Amino acid sequence: MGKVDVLPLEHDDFRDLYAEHRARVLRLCRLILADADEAEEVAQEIFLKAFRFYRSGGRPEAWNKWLATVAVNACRDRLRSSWWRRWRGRTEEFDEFKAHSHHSAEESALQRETQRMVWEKFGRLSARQREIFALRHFEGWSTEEVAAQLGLSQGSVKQHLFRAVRELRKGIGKEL
Amino acid sequence: MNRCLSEQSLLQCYTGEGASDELAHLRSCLACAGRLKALESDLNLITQALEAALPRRRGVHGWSFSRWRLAISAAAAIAAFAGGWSLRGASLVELPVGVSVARHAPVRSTAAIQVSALEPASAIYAAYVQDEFGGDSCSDMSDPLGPGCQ
Repeated sequence: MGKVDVLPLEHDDFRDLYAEHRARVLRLCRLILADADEAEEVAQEIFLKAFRFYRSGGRPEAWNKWLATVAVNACRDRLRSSWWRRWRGRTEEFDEFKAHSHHSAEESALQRETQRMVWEKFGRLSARQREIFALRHFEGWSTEEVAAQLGLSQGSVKQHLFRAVRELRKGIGKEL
Repeated sequence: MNRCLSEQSLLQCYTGEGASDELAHLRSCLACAGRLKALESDLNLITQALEAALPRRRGVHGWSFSRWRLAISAAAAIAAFAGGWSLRGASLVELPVGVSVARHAPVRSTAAIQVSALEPASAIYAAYVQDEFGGDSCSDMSDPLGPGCQ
């Protein structure tokens, strides 16, 4: 995110904004795209867009909602345009695994395996299901807000969420 | 409400969107309360797993079968194109000196055998016979627009 680091001093507010929201935006992109590298790229684009908006005097009611909305749209665009993504193969490496230090080697291996299974299932969900799961469970949006953002009915959002949760639970060995 | 809750209803209760009768049932049914607890625990585990690990793209060494297949197909297509390009304009058989190949007889007058949708088959045939067997000098090798043919 070098482009943001060279901000002039008068944009300190934006620097704070960036520091406050970067991790959240990155996580949202990572969840929707299911790819850490692409998520980094898209998050960079999102903050660039946010900076242009900020510089032109734009001040949304809530930056977190604004950024999440922009992130969802940017990720959707990326998924639509990246036809070559399928060609590159699936994402299967977990190089930022955070094992808890108090866990034994066996527990860590189990934890890692669980993470792999969950990510595998998560990656197989439809983009829509990933969006809904991320907004609902990680961003804390209500069903009504998610439905309004994605242009769906509330019933449809609930259905997508239910299917996503069912699939993810299968990933941890819970057949329903 | 006496019937146990469906998984979807349980999820709605978990997300705080359960109906009042479903919530009342949860308070009175130990089985459903236990299932809700299990759902909560599973979702915590899933959330932690998704929070903790970052999937990354495979390296170059991790090429999948489909990528190899695509690369090989692309290489074959390029080779075929390059081969075709290099052979363009070249004759396939070089004839020895002195050997001549009979040229295909040129088409004679096409005026008489033009096919028309409105023309009956017999007329086309008659025109063909006239052209082929009883043709005048104009339909021969000479110039049909030359003197005497107008």
